[in-house]
Amino acid sequence: MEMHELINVWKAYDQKLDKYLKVNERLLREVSFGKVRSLLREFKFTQIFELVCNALFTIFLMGYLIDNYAVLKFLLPGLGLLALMVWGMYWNITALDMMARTDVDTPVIVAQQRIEKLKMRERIERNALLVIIPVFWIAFMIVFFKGVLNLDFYVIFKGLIWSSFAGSIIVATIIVWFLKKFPDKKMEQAIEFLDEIKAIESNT
Amino acid sequence: MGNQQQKDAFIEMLEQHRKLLFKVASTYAKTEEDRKDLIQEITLQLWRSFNKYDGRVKFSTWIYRIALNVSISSFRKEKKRYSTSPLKEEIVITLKDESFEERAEQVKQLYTFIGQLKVIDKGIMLLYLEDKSHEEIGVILGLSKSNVGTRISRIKKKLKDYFELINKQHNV
Repeated sequence: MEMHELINVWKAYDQKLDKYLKVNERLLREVSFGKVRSLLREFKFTQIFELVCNALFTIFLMGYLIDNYAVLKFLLPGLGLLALMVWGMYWNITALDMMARTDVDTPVIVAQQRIEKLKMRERIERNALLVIIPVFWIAFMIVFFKGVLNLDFYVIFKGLIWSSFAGSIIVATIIVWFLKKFPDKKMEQAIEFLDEIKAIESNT
Repeated sequence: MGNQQQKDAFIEMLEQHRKLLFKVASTYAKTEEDRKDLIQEITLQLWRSFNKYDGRVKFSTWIYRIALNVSISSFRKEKKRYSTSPLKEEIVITLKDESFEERAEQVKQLYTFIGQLKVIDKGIMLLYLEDKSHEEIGVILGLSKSNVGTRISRIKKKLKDYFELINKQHNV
């Protein structure tokens, strides 16, 4: 069948629908449209919540670093966590910016690309946390004991600290291996879709 | 505009574009139930954005963008989550006669063909069938006119192969 014939078939179908389709006006008049869910609303709240938490912890860390800048063993874990928080806030802000620029009436390719990138970032973040938590938990405990309880974690857990650190690195390595061995299917689908969009954009 | 006036205008807009919504939803829905859900979801998102239309693009272009964005996002979602929809009990756009055979054999074949296309190409094919110019398809999707032309040529080629195969099968 040729394309022009199909267009005629489609036109006939359109005319048929014209006759048979109706809008449920009564339903639309009765219903309250108050609670309409945005495509990205849930994700937006998560990002705002994370941003606020990261900002509060950064303020705490700044105070901690001012108090402990002269002692290297307390300074280094604090700096490590500060770098992590700065990275986290940058991540949150860029995600929120992307969301602010994306609405449901944005051109389809642009909107879908942004939505998919956001979904992909969310999954990267989730996977990254699996590695970040074991790697940074000792730094966090050192900062927490010193900054909140004014105790020296190195003294209290003397002898355990380096073995725990080595253990956490091993755990993180196993998680990385596991993530590579069993890749996230949704992430692969997101990458595939982004590649499809890229191919359309570049006309290949 | 008051709430009642706004609702009237919205219903009028839905009346005028009901076929568009129905066809976009039919293109991306995998089942009849999906189509109903999708029409509800598109309607809700249209209502949500109704006040924001600023006239920068044609009204139909704006509706197509929303309908396609909602449909593609829904199509790519594994699990549907329309539980927050205040419209879930009844259906917004329905067939007057349930026994009406909506799709002739050729239309069914056409939908089957569209179903085999990639996500964005489904939209391109639909817009092409709707007699949209390359330029307008480009504005709806965010692509250049030449890019749209290239995609359409490729889809036409696939379509030709598809119908040749169907004819062969019929002749065997």
